This record gives sequence, structure tokens and C-alpha cells, in this order.
Amino acid sequence: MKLNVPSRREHGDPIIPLINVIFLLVIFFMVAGTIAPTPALDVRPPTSKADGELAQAADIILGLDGRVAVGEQVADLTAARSLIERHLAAGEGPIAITADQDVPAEMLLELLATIRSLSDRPTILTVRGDK
Amino acid sequence: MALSLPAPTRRLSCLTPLIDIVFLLLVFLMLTTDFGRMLSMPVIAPANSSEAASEATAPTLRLHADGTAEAAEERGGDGQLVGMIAALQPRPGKVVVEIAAGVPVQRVVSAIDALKANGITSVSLSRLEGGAAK
Repeated sequence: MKLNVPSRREHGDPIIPLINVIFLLVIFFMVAGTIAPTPALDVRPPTSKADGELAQAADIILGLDGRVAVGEQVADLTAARSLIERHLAAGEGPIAITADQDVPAEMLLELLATIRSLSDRPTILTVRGDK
Repeated sequence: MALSLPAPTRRLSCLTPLIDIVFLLLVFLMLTTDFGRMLSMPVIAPANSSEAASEATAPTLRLHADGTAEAAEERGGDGQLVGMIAALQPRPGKVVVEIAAGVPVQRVVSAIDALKANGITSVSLSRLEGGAAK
């Protein structure tokens, strides 16, 4: 008499420890990292050794090529005045600026002067902590 | 006739879809996560005419385009900034940083760091006229 004996299951490498490790990695990345929307301009912020409060999301980005991003809109420094004016009118509190570390500082000064001519809100430069 | 058959093994629920999703999540987080701490550094915009008078009395730190800095009539490399600022007497509450054309933002931030290291937190930025001169 032939009996239909179930074939013995092959035991491969245990997969549960792998899943455990991957879950731990996922949790690590979720806790330690920050996810932010991709900025309209790709900039490398200057690094600072000083302490400071954690930065808010950038309102205005000054790129290496002198272009300015206000939200999703990008314009050159002179044409950005109207964008900045609209942005300043819409909100309140400090204005966070992110400038590329290699951009000439006179462009930053020009941007600061433009902001100052439009509003009395304090300005904050976003820097990357290097401690 | 009694046959001793092996007990049927209990089939585990299939883990492959779960592992797929977790792997995708892991790759997404690895690609998008930014571990750098972004800090805020208050800066005061170039003074308007009404504040220019008060800033005229504040000591200045000049950043030249040739990589040197100048404070209290002493000129040296950026590495000497902390010492040069410490030599400012009397101890200023506010310092005006005058920036020559062509100085990158990173040098300005490093200068503000040096001022902060000396306990000076009120920093005003301004343009150094004729800053290209050595």
C-alpha cells in the first residue's frame, strides 16, 4: 500500500533574526533622522561650531548661483523681491535663511537688506551644527 | 495496520511580503534621512540710517578678501580671530562685522562663531567698502 507521506520540510537559514535586525535599523532611522521636503535649490549650508537652537524650515534659500528660492518659486536676487514681499506678508516670526557656504557674503547682505526694507521681522541664518 | 506517520508541520504564515515592505521602508529611510543638526544663528541685517549712529560706536571686525581678518587694529589669519576679539577693550556688547567683496558665507559664520566664543551674541553685518584693498 502506498501512503502519501508529506515530504519533510527543509530547514534553511533562520530568517527571524534578519527581520529583527532590519526592524531595529528601521526604528533607528526613524528616530535618529529627520525627513524634510526637498528644497527648491540644492545648497550646502555653512557649518558652525557654536551652539544654537534647532532651526526651523528655511523660508528663503540663497543658492550658489545667486538665485533665490522662496517656497517652491525660484528667481534671481533682484526679481525675488516681490516673492519675498508676498512671503513676508503671509507669515510672522523670524525669517530663516539658508545660504550656500560658498556664496559671496555680499549676496547675503543684499538679501538681508531687501528683507529689512520690507519687514522688521528678525532674520536667522540656518547653519549645520558641527560639534 | 497502524502506521506511524510524521505529524504534519504547521505552516507559518508567509513572511516574504512583510520582509519586502520592511526592506523598502529601510531603503527609503536610508536615502532620505538627514543626520545633520540644523541650527539657527541670529544675524542682524545691514543697519539702516537710524541705527547707523549707534553702530558707529560699536567695534568692528573686518573680514578681508585675502583671507585675513582685522579687529582692534590687529590683523591676522582667521585662526587668530578668537584671540583678536578677546583683545577688544572695553568688552563690547555688540560687534559690527564688515565683510569685503568675495568673502564666502562660511567665513562670516566662522567669525560669528569666534564672537560667540568670546560671549558676544549681538552681531551686525555690514559691507566693507573698498574691502578688496590689502
